[in-house]
Amino acid sequence: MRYYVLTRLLIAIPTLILLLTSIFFIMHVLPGDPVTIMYGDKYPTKYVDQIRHNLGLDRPILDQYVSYITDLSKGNMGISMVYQIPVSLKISYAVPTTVELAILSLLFSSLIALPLGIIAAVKRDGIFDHVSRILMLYIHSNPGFWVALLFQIIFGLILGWFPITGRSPPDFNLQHITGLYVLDSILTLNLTALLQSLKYLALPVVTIAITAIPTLSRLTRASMLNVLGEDYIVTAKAKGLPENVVIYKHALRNSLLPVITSIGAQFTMLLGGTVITERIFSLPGLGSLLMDSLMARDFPAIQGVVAVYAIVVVIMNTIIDVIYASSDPRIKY
Amino acid sequence: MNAMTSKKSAFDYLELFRIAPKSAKVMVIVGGAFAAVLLIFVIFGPYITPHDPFAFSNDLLSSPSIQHLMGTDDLGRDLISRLIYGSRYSLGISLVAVGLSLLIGIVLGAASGFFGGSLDRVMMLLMDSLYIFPSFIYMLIMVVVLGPGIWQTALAISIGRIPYNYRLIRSLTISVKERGFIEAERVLGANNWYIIRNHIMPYFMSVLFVTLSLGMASGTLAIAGLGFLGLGIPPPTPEWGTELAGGRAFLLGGAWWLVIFPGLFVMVAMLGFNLLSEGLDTMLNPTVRRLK
Repeated sequence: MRYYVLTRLLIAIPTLILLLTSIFFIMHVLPGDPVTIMYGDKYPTKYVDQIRHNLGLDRPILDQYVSYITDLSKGNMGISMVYQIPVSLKISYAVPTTVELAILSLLFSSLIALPLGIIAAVKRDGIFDHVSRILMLYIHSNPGFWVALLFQIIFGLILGWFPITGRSPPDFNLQHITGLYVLDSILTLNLTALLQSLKYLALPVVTIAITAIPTLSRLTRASMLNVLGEDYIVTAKAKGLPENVVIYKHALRNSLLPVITSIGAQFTMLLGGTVITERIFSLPGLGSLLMDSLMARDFPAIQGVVAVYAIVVVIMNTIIDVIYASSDPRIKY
Repeated sequence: MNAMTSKKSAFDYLELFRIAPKSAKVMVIVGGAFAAVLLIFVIFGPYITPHDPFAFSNDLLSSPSIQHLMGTDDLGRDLISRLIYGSRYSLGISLVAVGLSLLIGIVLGAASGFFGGSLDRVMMLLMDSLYIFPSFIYMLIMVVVLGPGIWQTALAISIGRIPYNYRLIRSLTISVKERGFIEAERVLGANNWYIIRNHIMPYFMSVLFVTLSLGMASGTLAIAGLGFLGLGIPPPTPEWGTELAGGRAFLLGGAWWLVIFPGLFVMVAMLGFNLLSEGLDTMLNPTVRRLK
């Protein structure tokens, strides 16, 4: 087991490099010259050439690639063209918001989707199963940005239950440890801050989670149905074990394994969803930073933010793989 | 197995529909009806709009009425006309993007799964690493690097979807490759191309319908998302997401229809394609049917 975890951690590094490499080449090899598209309409040719030279984009592509990777490995992401401060500094402020948002959304969607899927499978073809299937299909068809806007209108403007922008109230008082407000307020036993930050997070988290709930609950249902058809379930029932024990002790544990593997893909999707959600709720996370950089055509910042997204997904997928391996006794390494 | 190996005729599809469970029938019919109406919008859009989608009028920001069923925007343009006309962009681009991406996915995935070996390993490694990265973020970056425009948006979305299609087609290819009838054909002396064309492709067709329909839903979502963030099709083109983003500014002033109706168009399109793919999946996928 320890050996597996070690190898899995080592595999994460080439995966990350490969991902960064492909993103680099997608950005540089696609037809069209980014600098001309980004700045061509704003400045005369002489300045555009100067920008290209400053960014090192007039060097041979392999040369650029090598310095991109070596700089990145040293934590150097260049200087933001808009803010004139190191990109890594900008990013370090933005990461906690996005990580908090993504993790809470993942937890929330699992909390809703797993029970739904389990009940639908156990009461298969019953009224609950049919209603939840139609409901999930409907929810799945709602664009995230539309849900966010509807939530803002209904729960923010009309009912006034939740704030619709920002991450914390003006009088927010919290000692920063990790930058994740929920975690920090639990660590410092600050109940007021915990409630305040949860109130601010509620709408964005639900918005993002909603997009993942249909997929997750459907997968749980399918996986549960598979397991319920296995011989050992029949055996357990034949032994006269109570229904609840069979379902929650024998079937549930085994049916969750495929669900765990899919959580990586769900996390990836959620992370994509945070971009639009952060924008709508004005949350100062990676998504907002990415959008600002894209809008301002801040090339070093775009590259930096994308690299951080890549690092986050690789870390998350590694963690999930390790959890999966340690929870399935059949997998021996 | 015979129905899979021979090319499916129209009759076979009717037969599959007849024996499908009732819920799948309803989904196919309702989803198909949605898709058909949207297709009419895409093809005949400019001829069936009640008003000129680009004509200004003095009815600025008027709420929905008999004359303007979905109200008008800040320049007095009729919203329902703009949204019907806009389906050309929202759905047309999605169709081009999804088709292109599926085509590339089929070529790469089938080659990778069928030939295996080091080609497969290298491709799989690359696609796996791309797969874990959020595709919407790729699309955002590519749209900015490629510049704004219809073809650029289509290209960005299709590239963003390649890893997904590649993995799907590759695993399908591998699962069909191991079947006995392929082995039998090979023993009979059939070459690779013959097997791909006559056995693997027909087997794929049922999956392709489902994937295409699902892809239309997520392609429409991606275009609307890009438009919403101001990076998709630039105004005054009435793409749904772009319209919604434009209408957002007037929300606090009470012009709710400028946000609700564009969003509703995206939602209805996605619902239609999701219903269609779900119904088709049950109808065309024999293993699902056997369970019923």
